[in-house]
Amino acid sequence: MLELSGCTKTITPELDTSPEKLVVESLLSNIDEMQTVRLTKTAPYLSQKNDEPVTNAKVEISSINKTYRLKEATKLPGLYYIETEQFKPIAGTEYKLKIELDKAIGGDSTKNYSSKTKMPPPVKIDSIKLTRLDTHWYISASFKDRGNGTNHYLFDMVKIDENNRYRTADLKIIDNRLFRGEYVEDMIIYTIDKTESTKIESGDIIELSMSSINSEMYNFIEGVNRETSQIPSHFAGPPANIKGNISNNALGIFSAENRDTTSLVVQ
Amino acid sequence: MIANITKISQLLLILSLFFGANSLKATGKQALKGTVYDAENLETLPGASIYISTINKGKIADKKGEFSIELNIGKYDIAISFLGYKTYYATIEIDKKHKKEFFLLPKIAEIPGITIESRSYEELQREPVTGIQELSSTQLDQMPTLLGESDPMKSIQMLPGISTSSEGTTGFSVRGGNPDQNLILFDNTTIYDAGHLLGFFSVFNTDIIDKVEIYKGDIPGSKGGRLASIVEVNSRDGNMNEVKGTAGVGLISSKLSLDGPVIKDKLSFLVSARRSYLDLYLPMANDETLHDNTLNFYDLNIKLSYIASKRDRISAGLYKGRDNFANNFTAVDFGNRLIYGEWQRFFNDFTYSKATLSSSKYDYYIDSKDLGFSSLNWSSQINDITFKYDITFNTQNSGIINGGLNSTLRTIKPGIINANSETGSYNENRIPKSTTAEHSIFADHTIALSNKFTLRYGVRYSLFQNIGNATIFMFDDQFNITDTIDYDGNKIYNTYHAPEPRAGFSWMITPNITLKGSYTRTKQYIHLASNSVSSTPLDVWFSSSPAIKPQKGTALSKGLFYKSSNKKWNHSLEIFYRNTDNAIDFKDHPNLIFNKAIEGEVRQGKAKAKGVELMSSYEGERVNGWIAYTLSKSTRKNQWINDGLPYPSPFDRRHNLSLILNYNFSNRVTASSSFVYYTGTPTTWPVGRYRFQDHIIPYYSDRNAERMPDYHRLDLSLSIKQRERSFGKGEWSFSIYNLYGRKNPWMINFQKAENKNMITEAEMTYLFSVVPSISYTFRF
Repeated sequence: MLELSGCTKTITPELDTSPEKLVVESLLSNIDEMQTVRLTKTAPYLSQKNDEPVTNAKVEISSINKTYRLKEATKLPGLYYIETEQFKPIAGTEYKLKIELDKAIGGDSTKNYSSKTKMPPPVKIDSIKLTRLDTHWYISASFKDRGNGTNHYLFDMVKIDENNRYRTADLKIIDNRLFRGEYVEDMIIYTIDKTESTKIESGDIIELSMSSINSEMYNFIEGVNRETSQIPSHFAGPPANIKGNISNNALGIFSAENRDTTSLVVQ
Repeated sequence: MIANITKISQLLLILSLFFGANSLKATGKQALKGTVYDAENLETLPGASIYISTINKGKIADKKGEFSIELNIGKYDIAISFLGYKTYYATIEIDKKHKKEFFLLPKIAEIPGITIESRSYEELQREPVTGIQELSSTQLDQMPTLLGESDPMKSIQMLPGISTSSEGTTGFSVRGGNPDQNLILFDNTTIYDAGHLLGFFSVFNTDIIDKVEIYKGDIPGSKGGRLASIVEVNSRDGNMNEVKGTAGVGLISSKLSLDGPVIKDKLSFLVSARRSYLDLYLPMANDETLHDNTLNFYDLNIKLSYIASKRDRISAGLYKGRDNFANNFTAVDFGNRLIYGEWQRFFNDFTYSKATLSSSKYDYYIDSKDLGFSSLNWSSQINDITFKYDITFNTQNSGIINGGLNSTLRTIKPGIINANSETGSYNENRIPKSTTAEHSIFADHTIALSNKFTLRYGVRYSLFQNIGNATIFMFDDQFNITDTIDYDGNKIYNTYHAPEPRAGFSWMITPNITLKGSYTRTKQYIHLASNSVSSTPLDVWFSSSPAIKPQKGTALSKGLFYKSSNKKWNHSLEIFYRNTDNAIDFKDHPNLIFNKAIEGEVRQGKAKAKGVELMSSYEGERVNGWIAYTLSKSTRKNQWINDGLPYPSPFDRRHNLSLILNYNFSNRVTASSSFVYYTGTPTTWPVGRYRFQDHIIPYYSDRNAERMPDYHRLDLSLSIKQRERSFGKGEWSFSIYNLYGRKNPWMINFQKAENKNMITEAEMTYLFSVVPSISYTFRF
């Protein structure tokens, strides 16, 4: 019906703008070279500018017995980091984030924000497979679910060819409701249209990562996917702000992932 | 002062009763004798029922079609009805011995279309129920249509207080209520999804519809189960004398109906089928992937009507309708299936009963193919078995007493997922089924306290039971599951029950003006898990349970009704107020798909709606039409949503205007136009944005704080009937939907601009620009 008679057009509705808010993005990892915390501010929805960084903040991550102070990157203002060599999260341990701004943002009366998270247990990919069928590539993985309770997983894929590293923007998540405690064989994780600019050729390397994440992060990503997906708003229900875990109504999330990566060379 | 007025009014009441009684004594009695005939073949009609509405008195015609009623000298409104015939209304003056002949038109002789319950004016004026509409079949039959498909569910959206849930669909909201608060009955049997193709077409084939009745909020005791409205769609009976048929060809579907006698004057049949052929248009779509898709629906209706004796009529029917959609990866099909049997008995001149046994099923099935591990099939269904019994005593002096009972056993299997082939590896997964019973008993009394004042009061007592086997979840105050309880076979583990009082009055202030008022309490025990503006065929129904309290509604309305002495003009003004406790809403980002504990997603709160409805209609020789305007406000309040602050309901339409105008150029040529305007739907829009990885995330306003642009549209149609030939009569219908091509936004999506990093835009989708259509119907 839509295809037959519907049409779309870009419009400029008059939108209200809320006062600026702090946005936090941080996903601690067992693999990355650096643990980072990125601080930015919200912008008007139809703004044509890049998001504005929040600089000169005091950022700390701590576990029960140790506190780490993060440095702000000189070339990337608003990005605070610590090398993984100095701090590597351990499964089952709780970490706390503390942020102190040098001046309050928007209508906020406070300059202090905090959050906490726990490093999830590890997961291991057994094997990955690339299949070509008609017009699509399918990238599948086999792994064993840990069982005991609800587990959440996040996937990431990188294609490396001679010149480029291409990373999918899709945030693929899944929980184990349908395969609790099972050995999962060849579950299709990514489907790639052969006509896409990312087309896969012989000799390319496909790197698939699978991360064990906690339910807070899973729900956050589910919200991100929902709010950025192409589901027509008509059928999607009222949109709502994604629930993060930063105090004082700041937006974003502070969480941790336990990641495993496997790769294959395209034949 | 007040005491004096009370005394005076008491005195007036006594005086009026006294004069009323006195006039009875002063006048003599006469018998109204009559015979009822079929107007076409002049055969008598034994068993026809004669009703004198002025005095609430009735009779049944004997085996010769004759009757006799003792009446005082004076003027009386009479209504004569018989199964398969159009009800005859007249005002008769009794001054001398009367012997009269009455001719009833067989229903088949009417233009098959939609009749919204057509009662005599006097009858309606006295009826102490507000919010029932009276519109002639012709008016509705002439309304312009979308793609040539006339549709009762869209026609009722032109009435005051009723608005579409979204453009072009059969879903509607009554007085600010949710679409799932409307109970749609087809031949007294529940229909769970009245739409085809995402609701653009309804499941009702107009060729077989006899009448449509709508109760908006003020619901008599005999009906219930939903808070906002009851819509009763009834099919006609097959012709008892000769075989008749209708064939129709339209742009998107064709249909054929046949009816006639199996045993003349005893048993008739009615068969009707409709099938769409939208698939034919798919190869024309811009998107090549759609070319090989399947997209169609069908409806099948079968009905048998049997006159078992002059006092007993039995009918049985079947409806089956299904939608099919398939592409290379997925096949989806869904639809309703109804089976029912009904027995009407006229015990004597004053006592009438109706018993119905029915079964209703709605199910959907999704099959995903060629997806290796993930390939699966998924099914869901809801199944009702219902018994209804209704008895009416039309007493001579004490008014009309109506009583009865309803009992429904309902099974919901919300979802079963199976791996569908050797490649699929999912475990079988079931959402626990739910079995419930919903019972009610009711009694209603309507009595004329004087010539001018009629009172109706009654109560419905409803009882709801959750029955094992069942798995239920217990939640803490933050909706986290704390415990799972299993109940074994047939044990009733949870019960809700409550009285639902109903009352209404009508007061004829002058012969032209009536004041009416009503009060209704209702309960709703079944709810739809949908939180979008437009429900989809894959939404599941869920029942009240220990965690979900029944929705509780209170409706108050008052109205002034005027009819001009020449009976051409009708004006009405109604005000209403609705309050809902335990109104169903859902948390932000609810998971309503394949969720075992859907109760954990529900947040119950309060909903309120109030408004004024105005309607003026004119019925002249050549010109007829109406204008309906509603001013209303509908809000919700829920401690879990929008920080506990009140927010507009998604069905809040501040102004809603519809205008219908028909002009008969001749008996064969009629032009019609309709115009609709309503305030834009409340919506939630972004008021900021932020970044997460490579995604732009919108930051939203309060719930429903913004509005879509206002909606308006003008439609035109022209119908030309061919001259009657010996083998039948044809009719051409031409329609133009959205004449001036208004681009009404159906939705506005906020998204990242394509191929532009970090740039956002708003994109509006509109469904229909100017849509012309043509259809041809042949009646034989």
